Amino acid sequence: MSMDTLSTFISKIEAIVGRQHVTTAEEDLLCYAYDATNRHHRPDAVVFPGNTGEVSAIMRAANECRFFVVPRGAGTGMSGGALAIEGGLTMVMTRFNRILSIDRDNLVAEVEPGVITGHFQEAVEREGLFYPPDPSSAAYSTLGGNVGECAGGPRAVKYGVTRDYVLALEVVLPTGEVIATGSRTAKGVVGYDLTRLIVGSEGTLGVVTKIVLRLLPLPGVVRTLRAIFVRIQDAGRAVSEIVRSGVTPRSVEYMDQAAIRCVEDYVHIGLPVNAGAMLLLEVDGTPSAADAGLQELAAICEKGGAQKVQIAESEQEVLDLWRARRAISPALFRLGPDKISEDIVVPRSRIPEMVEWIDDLRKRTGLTMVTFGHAGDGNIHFNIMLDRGDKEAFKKAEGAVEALFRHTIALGGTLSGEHGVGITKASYLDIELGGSELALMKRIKATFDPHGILNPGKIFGNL
Amino acid sequence: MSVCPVYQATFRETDVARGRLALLESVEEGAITWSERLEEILSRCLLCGACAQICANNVPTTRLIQQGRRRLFEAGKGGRSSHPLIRSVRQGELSGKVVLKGGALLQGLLCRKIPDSSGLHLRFPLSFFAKRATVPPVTWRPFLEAFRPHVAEKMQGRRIGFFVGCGANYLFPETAWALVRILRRVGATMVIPKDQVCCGLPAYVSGDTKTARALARRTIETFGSLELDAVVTVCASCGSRLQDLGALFEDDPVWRDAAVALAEKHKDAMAYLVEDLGLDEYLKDRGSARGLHGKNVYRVAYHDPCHLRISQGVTEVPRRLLRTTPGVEYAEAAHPGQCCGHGGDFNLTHFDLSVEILDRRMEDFQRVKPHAIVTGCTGCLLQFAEGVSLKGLAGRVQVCHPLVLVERAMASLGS
Repeated sequence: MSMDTLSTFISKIEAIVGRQHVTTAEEDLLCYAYDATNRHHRPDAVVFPGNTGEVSAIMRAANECRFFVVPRGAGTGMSGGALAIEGGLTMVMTRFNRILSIDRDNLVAEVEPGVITGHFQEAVEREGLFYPPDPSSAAYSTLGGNVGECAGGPRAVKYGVTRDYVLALEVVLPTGEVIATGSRTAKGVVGYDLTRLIVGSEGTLGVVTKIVLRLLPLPGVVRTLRAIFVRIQDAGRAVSEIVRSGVTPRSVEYMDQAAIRCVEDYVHIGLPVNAGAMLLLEVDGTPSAADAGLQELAAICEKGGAQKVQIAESEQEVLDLWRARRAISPALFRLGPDKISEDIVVPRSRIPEMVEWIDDLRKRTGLTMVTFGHAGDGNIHFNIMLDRGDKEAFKKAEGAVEALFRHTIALGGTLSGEHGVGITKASYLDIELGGSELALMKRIKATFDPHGILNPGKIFGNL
Repeated sequence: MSVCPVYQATFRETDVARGRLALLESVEEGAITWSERLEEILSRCLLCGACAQICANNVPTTRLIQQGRRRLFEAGKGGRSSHPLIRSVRQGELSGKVVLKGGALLQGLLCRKIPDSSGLHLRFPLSFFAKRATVPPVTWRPFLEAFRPHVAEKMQGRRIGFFVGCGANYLFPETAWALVRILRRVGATMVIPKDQVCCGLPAYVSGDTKTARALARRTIETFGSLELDAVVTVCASCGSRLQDLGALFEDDPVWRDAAVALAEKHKDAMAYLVEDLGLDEYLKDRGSARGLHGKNVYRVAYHDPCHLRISQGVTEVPRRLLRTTPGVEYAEAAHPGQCCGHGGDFNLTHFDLSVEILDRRMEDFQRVKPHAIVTGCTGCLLQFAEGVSLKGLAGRVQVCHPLVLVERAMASLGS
């Protein structure tokens, strides 16, 4: 892009949103060059639109000038969705930060995409309502970003993921048209389900400007237990047993020995460093149902070879039990400066097999591997900790990741449960998707975005 | 990102640790040079320390930003900081009151009139007066001028030094008096040197390490020779500075040892009263609540100053103290630990943003309908005085240091 084209385009954008909402200052651009993947791609300009009309006008101008646009929420994505890898205009949606309505009669809320997920949860819980999707980044990620990546979280085992709560959307297409998808009703089958197409499309089909979300009544109580296993395989089998039991826990979190040791080293809370694995289970509902459910899960764990089962008796004990789980991500960096992080999913019954296979992979490669995750829905967070400067280790790790992906598909799983493809998994896409499916997806992309200006290079690599 | 008060108001990546650190790294790598925009970005940090406190990788963001500001200052690029109020400290001589009063001004206050005795002549931009709802008057009788030690206080025993600080001396002397009266009631010996100076925090955070060091040396000389058992403060900001005094003299072992020795003796007054003198037990023993405030309960909500919660790790003691204070009903407001948005210098240079952060904090407090909002920091006290005015609650909601209420209760019990 020549400087001339850039400055002409920027003046157009300034005319749309006002000079104070556009920046090309180097200092600002550097602050929008990264996301949670810690890769750096500096955009040419950053714009902060304030309403749908502005987003539409920006898209129209960009489409005319063939200028790339990359939508961005809080920049907390794990697959590079918000990075301007080809340069262009980063469109930051954080000014869209209003909760427009919370309708208690219909259990529906209408929000703008820049609202922080955690703030929204707090607001609906004050009304006795519940928005279940809870990605680990909920305290700072935006609902728009959650919709873009179809974020999940621990509660998905019972409540599903972001997609299951999005009823309707207002979306600005790359050509500038504003469309409304879905309906605010509990049912709705008129036409194709564009809502589900947009959710999880990683900002490649349109820019979401309004979201209608389904809510639930807030569960009465939550009960928590922790089970410690000597053998990791026993923990895997206990998870399968729990899934079969008829009690639906709201989360089944799992940590392997490497994760337990790493966390204990970091927070010193007396975790059993010789244990093979640890499960953290939660049941919610009415007090009697939750208590009964928890007892049943405790019995399953004990029967399944758990060395110790601990039920939290107070709020404080709940926090203590969760503390270990929440400390994993930060604690990991004690094992190496860089992290390769994947979030594969396998059918729940195949978890024991997958866990054993990874254990074997660890032994074969000698790499530092840590696994934890949402075992209840088969979503395993697989991490290799290393120094990117160590070329040999890095190459070995890349091989391990590809082997992991191939084995995941062989077990009937999928490459990513909640992080998305973005740029980090684009080169592995054909492991999972066939030629016809890929070709159809690319045709859909071209229909929405004929000039390929919106979030280029994501999902499919270079089209 | 979830804890940064500035980011929570603007949601801009330049207003959060991640962005600022990326920029400092770029400077380090030579990718960008110091610029006005960079200075502006660094100035929009409250230095509250909330990000560093929760950082998994222990990145000392607060210190890195202060170092960035220092480099800007030393490169003569402190344009933003060369506000008349801030300059006054640097240009003023280090002799006594000029610096003391300059420092007091820097804590974010504006004087209706500078005391004639000060010889300090400052001009303020009109916009400061135009924007503020409250202009706290400087007291006509600073605490240190008015204080006369009792005979008993000159006797031997447990000797407690009181570092008064500019805020308690000029703006909120009732806090200093409350501490003096409480200590007299429990029978401790107080030592209050009259020649004490500003803690140096305003100079330090704006990058003027030289002035901060000079002030620190004065403080060490003044208090170091007194053979004290403890040095207490009633302002969280002064306290945080005293506790971190050693860091100023990393390359100067003699002063560093003296600074560390003083820092080790320092404790926030509330923490000292409760942990070392058992004031909460003392209050409990004095019987139940009485009608201190007519027949009604007096509902009190506490705000954690960042410089107390994060810098000194004091959160539970003030609450325990208030819960045992006769006549007080303690109410916890939502989001405990959230910053009030004052940030000293920040309040002067980014007033609108500061008030926006305050506005959210005020909403938390308004929900519990307190009769008083209490907090142990000069900056926070100024900020809540402003907040109470902006919300039309002036005269209906008292803003003061917790010790003022404790002392009032003790006086009533004693009578």
